[in-house]
Amino acid sequence: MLAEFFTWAAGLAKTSPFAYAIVNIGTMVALGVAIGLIADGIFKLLRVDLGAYKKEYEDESAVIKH
Amino acid sequence: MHMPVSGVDMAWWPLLLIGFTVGVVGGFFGIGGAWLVTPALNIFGFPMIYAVGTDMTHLVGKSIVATFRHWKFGHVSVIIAFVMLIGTFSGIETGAQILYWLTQKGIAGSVVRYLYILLLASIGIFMLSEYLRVRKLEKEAGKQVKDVVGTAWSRWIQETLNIWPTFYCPIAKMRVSLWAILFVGVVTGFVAGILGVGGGIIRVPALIYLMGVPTKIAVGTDLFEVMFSGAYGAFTYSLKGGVELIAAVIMLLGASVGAQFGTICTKYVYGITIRLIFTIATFFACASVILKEISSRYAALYKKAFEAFLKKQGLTPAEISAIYAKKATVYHYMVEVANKPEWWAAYTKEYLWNQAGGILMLTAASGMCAYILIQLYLGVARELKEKRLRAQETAKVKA
Repeated sequence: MLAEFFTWAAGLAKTSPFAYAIVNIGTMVALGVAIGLIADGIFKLLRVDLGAYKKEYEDESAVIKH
Repeated sequence: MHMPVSGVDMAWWPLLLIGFTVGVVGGFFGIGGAWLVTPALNIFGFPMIYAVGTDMTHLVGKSIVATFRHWKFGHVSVIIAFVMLIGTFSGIETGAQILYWLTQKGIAGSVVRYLYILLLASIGIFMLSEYLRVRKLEKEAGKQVKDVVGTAWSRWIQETLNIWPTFYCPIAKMRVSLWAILFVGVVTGFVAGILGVGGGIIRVPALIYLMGVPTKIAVGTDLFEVMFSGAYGAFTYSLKGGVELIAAVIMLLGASVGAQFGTICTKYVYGITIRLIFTIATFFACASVILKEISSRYAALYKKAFEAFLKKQGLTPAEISAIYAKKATVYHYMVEVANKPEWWAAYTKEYLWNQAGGILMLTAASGMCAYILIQLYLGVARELKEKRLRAQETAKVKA
């Protein structure tokens, strides 16, 4: 099924470049969002805290401010 | 593995590996890293004409993954990114028009590359001297400096362009005028457009030094912008048929894992450390453009005449582009058909310089990737140790 999708997309590159461009961006956005959510789910399952934290620039004594 | 658009066969693992490496580096710096990916892809036999478009396409997915993580950390100022994006695109368009005009006049190639070399070298030298100055201050004051926020330039821009509408940016913890962001966006976009590059390597220092944004916010905010500039690049390259989707997907799979590591590492290092590694990256980018300039001198010896010859043979521009995808085909047309061994000699030299650039960039990316992963390991180990100690202390108090 995956091979068929890529063959179909490659065909679009020759027959309809505009549709090919849309398919490319759509695929990347869908994969990017899906992978981002899956990774977040994995970190939550592993109880790894990756939320907001105190940044070094919030510590006035360790930052040079102009 | 067969690449259906370009028609070349190549293994999948180099794509995965390159994706992972630039994922780590890109997530850490907040840049697209086309100057790393394009020559690295070429080293593994991926045709140059498809390398840029494929890189741009995988960048869309990678920047979504990395931006999401940076956003969770609180590193993304959406308001700055959106306003800057408007300025960036208008700047890119103006820059691209000037580039087109320079190309028509026949003075683009080398002039643009010299400008780019000068700009990258200036950014690198400035950032390095600032880093060394901070380290010296640290020694004199006897206390650690973790980041530097703002510069005399950023203060001047904020004060000069302090015109309505101004708004408070809670992420960067600063009040800023819309016009100041637009100004920086237009300037960086214009430079990126005239140089024909994505601009991450220019935008991050611009956000730090011209906007006065903390380093980590500059990284996260730039990645947000890369999502859109990558999509724009992917769209235009796809229209020209210069994207190999299957390769972009494989690269994205590697980059998604790498981007997690690179992004998470920013939590464990200080802004000043990110700046130092960014400086090194800038020098490597500069070296990459110098090598490109050298190789282009050899290209000038054969390209125009060779393509005119192919055109006379009745080949279309698309067919001419396809010839460059395979070295054996180039040899066939240059030596066996045109009987011009001098073209082949110049082509070989250009190819070797490009390969040298690829090896250098691959080494640089691997080195930076290894450094980031070590920093991540040390940071996680430190955090776990602190947690354990806190748990022990709590248990002691309870007992």
